[in-house]
Amino acid sequence: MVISLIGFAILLGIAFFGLPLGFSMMLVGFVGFAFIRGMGPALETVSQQILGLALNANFVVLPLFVLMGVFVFRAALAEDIYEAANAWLGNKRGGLAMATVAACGGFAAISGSSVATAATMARVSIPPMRRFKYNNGFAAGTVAAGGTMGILIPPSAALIVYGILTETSIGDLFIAGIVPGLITVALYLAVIWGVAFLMPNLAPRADKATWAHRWHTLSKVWAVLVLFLVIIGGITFGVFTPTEGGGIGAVGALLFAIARKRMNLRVFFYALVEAAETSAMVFTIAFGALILNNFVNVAGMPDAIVAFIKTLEIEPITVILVVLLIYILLGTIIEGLAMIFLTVPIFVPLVDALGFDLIWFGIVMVMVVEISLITPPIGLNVFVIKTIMPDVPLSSMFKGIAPFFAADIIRLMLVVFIADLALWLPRYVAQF
Amino acid sequence: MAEGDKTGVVDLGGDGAQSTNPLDRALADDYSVPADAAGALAAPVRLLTVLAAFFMFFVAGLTIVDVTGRYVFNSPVHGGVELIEFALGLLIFSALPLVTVKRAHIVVELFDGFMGKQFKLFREIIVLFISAGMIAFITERMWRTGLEMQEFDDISLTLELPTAPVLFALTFLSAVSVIIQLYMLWKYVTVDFRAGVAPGFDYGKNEDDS
Repeated sequence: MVISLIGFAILLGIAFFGLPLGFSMMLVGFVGFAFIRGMGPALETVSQQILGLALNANFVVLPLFVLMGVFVFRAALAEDIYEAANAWLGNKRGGLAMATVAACGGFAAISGSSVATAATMARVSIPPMRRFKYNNGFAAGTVAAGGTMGILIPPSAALIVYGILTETSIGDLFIAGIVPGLITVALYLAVIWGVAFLMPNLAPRADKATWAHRWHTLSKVWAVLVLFLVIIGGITFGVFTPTEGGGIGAVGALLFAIARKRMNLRVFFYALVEAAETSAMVFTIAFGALILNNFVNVAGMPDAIVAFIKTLEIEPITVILVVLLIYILLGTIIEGLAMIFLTVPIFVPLVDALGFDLIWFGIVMVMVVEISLITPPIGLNVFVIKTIMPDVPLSSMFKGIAPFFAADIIRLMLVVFIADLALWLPRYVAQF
Repeated sequence: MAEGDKTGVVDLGGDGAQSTNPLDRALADDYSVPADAAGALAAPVRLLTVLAAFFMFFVAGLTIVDVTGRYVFNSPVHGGVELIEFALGLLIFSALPLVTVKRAHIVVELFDGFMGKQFKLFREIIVLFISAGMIAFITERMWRTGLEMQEFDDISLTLELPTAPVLFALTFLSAVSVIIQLYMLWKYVTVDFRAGVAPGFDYGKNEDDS
């Protein structure tokens, strides 16, 4: 226990010093393991961990969904999704913001990344909101918060990583994210309605679209709907594995990009490179996380923490709430994916020992990671949107996020206390 | 609609032609970075880019052929899973040097704002050196594992392919990363460090108003 605490102190020290996180975890994990079990076994586990990850067909799912995301981005489906949402919702009070959230939800259903969702949707939704004199901070807040849904609504890179690290079913994680994702859309819409009702000048009405136009825009987004239904439906009902779903999704998105004349050989080539690079980046840090995981386990840290908590005689749910509080605090300073890698080795064994469902915890953890993307000082989504509206100060963006943050806490508590919101759907489809 | 004029400016004439699409230009800018940053190593980096793209294509293509074979023709690719496994390893390790050269590894930048310029200048040397050391360590591990596999004539389960060559390929790609990392260190020490230019990272660089 003491050894692992020292290990973590050193890890935080060198990570904050500026050594890439993957290498930091590898270094501490290796040295710590060697300290406890000796040099020979430590050297042995390093190769085992790396090859077990790099040469494992199950983990092809990550590059495939990353590739799908790159193609989706290239296919410029985001414009159509937003246009449809806008045609139907734009003329309501706060309608453009509602359309943004709805479009983010739709885009999240074909994208596995929150930052990509925020960046893509900001590009299409910020200009109209500015044209209709929306409050800049509120507009930025809407996209930043809406964008976070990228990692909750499947497919999700964060859930894939969690599945790899905890050896839980990526398919089940995807299915479990659907209902909380829909709750998020509903709550965000409610927030916008409330804000627009109380402060109408923040979010004025836009022009009303004709019915003909509405149906026309809807007919253009069938592609997105089909892609989502095929992939997630296929995975949900066990027609194919998440890996196969990723492959089908990548080809589907590629076909849309070609059909929409947004693809040529050069773009195709760089899309492949981009997906490969992102995968290499995530795998490097995953190597480190697994090597660190090994050390933490042989050092007996999870057992020691569980034993310690049992002596306190507190309710398991209290422990979960404390863990979530730690996550939210950590999330203000550490970037989302990095936080998953750093904390899974410590918290997941604890959550498991307390008898909680790991699929449920995965969803809850992704929800706190979402919160970390929009909380100051390091809110990655906010920085992304800042590059699109550089004239708006970060402080007013964070002000615009505040009501969405409140909604985030509410939905987090809903899923924490009503675990079935996440677990019902996977259980239901398991009957088929 | 707006969509219409956007698709209109995309270059439809295949490669080569200059595109007027801003997204395309951003893409081109992004990808000139690795080769530029690599300086004298630009050629090998370009080669790795091609390799990474090829393995990504191979992995995705084989997955699709496998799925189609299984569900449509009721016969999956023989040993397809094994080939995908090998290709995944090669994909990761051929893209690893590209991540290195773009300095795209995930870094916690929490305290960067509190560090003095002089400190950052020296820190960079240590970071580059340890990073090179860590990748060298991985390289050595793969090499050893490859030698062991060779010694025991280890073969894959389905296709009965020898596994040692795959490990040696991974070792080679990983070694390229080490060379690139050392080259970056050398270039940093001889150019930027002397000139007193502290390296910057991408995120949050332009937030001067908060």
